Amino acid sequence: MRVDLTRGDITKEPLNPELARGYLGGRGFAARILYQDLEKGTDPLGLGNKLIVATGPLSGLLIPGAGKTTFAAKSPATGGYADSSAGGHLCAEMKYAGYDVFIFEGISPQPVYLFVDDGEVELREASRYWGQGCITVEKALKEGLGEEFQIVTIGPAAERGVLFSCVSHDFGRQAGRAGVGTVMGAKRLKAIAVRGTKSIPVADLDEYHRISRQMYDACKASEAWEAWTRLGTSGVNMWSNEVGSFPTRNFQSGAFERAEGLKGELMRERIVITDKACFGCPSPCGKWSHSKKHKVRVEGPEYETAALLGANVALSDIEDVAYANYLCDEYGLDTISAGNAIAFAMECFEKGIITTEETDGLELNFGQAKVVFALLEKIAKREGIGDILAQGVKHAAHVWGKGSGDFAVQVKGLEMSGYESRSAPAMLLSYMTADVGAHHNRSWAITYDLEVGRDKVTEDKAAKVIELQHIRPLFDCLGCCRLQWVELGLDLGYYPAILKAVTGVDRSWDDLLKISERVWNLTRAFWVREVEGFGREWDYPPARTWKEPVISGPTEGKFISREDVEKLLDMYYAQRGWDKNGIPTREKLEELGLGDLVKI
Amino acid sequence: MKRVKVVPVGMLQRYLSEAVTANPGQTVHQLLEGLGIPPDLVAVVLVNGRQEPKSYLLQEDDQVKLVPLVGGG
Repeated sequence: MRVDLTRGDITKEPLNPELARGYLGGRGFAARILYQDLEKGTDPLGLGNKLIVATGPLSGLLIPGAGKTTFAAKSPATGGYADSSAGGHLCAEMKYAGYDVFIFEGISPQPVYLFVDDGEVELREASRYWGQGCITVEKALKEGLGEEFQIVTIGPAAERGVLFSCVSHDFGRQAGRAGVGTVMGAKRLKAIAVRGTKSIPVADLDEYHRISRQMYDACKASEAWEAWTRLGTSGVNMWSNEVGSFPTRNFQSGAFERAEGLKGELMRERIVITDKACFGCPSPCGKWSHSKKHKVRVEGPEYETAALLGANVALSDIEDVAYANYLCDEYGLDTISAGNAIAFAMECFEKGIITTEETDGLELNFGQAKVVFALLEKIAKREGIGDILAQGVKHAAHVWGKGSGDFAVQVKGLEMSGYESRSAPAMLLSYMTADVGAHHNRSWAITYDLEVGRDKVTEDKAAKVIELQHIRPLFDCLGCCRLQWVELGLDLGYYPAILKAVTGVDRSWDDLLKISERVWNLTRAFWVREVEGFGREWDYPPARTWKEPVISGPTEGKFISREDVEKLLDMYYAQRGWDKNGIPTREKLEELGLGDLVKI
Repeated sequence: MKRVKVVPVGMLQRYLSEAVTANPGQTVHQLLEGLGIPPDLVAVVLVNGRQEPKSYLLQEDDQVKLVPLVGGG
């Protein structure tokens, strides 16, 4: 369904079978649509950008974790490709209403929300919600429309153009990264509300039921189920600290001396009220928490939030982190980039690069909860120092100078998620080459570093990163969650089998990986087309990586040399079939069936 | 002496193929070293359904699950 927000026109189009064959769905659809439809040089916050909301072929079916929706656009934070996925129930409701993809174009003259009730669709006036928080608006829309509507909202941060604003759904699930919420805000699209009452056709019902049952049984039988359901992602907080990957004080260290206060079991016992699952999930990792200290309820904090708004700003009281999480959720801020921005400002203050003159009088010391809360508000409202931080750490480093760019922890303009990687080259390479900037969801290779030797810089590490960059984003093409595989060890062989039962098309696992590789090369081509001079230097990590050793913890004194960073890229590009500048070769593009589409 | 039951999960079965019993009175870290399981690969230690640190001293009748991450977070 295509929604022209400028004119208020809504048109329904049948799904292009060629798109489904070549790109599966979700992230694959988004990459193809953005590459094909966006004009070169499109302003991310202008009329020409498109916001894609895409389901996958497994979304909304009785398949473990089939509740993932992709939100994609040209990123205002990086100027390159962006997609970010959210768990919850939206994709299921879209499918039940009969839609695979929403494409939002143009800019509405006034705040609106999209109302979808099966075949009835319209843009509704939303001025009364403008300025209100994500959770507040979701609650209001649910109360007004009915509990069965699935709601997506943006908050005040997106309305004001904070470059790391998220899309919020299901009271605490976000498509958080690279400013997809900022694009929604620029379009004056405050919310999306969807209800569907139809069913999803499947090609072979008996086979679908049989495999679906096997998948759920395997999840429930997993010995790992108990741990991940009890703790969610917070289960790894202490592990990350033990292995020196818990980002601390703006990634100066990978171990936080007061991490005990953030451990998963303590969080479970102290603030968690109940477990919260996305659509179809047999292993609910969401933790619905109540901070009595701050009198708020919030989903989380997840690992990433504990890392970036905990250790990275030196907060050790889980209730303070929960409150910072709540503020981000209500304002509509990505906790990963927000935590990075605050930590960066704190390190700049610590080093004397900025003073109270630049901070509106605030003493930006690490470990001060009130300062963190105040900065989140300033960022969301773009007040004073908040206006600089709202544009990300790369921008802030340009403004403040004095060598601060060396420790602005970002790649391609996107702040790094929660793994200190100076002593984990495969993880570092994952960040360097992720196709949205420094994010872990494309490849998470740190356990591989730990398994084979964390200081080794070898061909197999580049191969592992590429393997993961094809497997993990494939879940975002299929429209389902990877955590049943990641955490419970669900066999990957189930996915081509159930996809065949659903679609009637027989594809091997290798065929699916080839599609994922096609998408990866297409997103790379998007960067090449959209970013002047794009190439190798855009894959460099911050200079701190090779200039400064880790200051404490189990990896104290470790860093990776500049030569090894170059070696990682050389190995990676060669294995990918890209040239030495990181540009896909014509031969590789032809091999992947992208020869006609991509002209670079 | 009552023994501790140790269950390896997922990829950790490469190092310990099936559940074993072990002596109480040692820490989880010591247990892992004794079994030849790299401690860094154990993401979560669950003792009687509760997460414990690797410094936890094993007690009689404890049920220990050693949980890794397969493909990351």
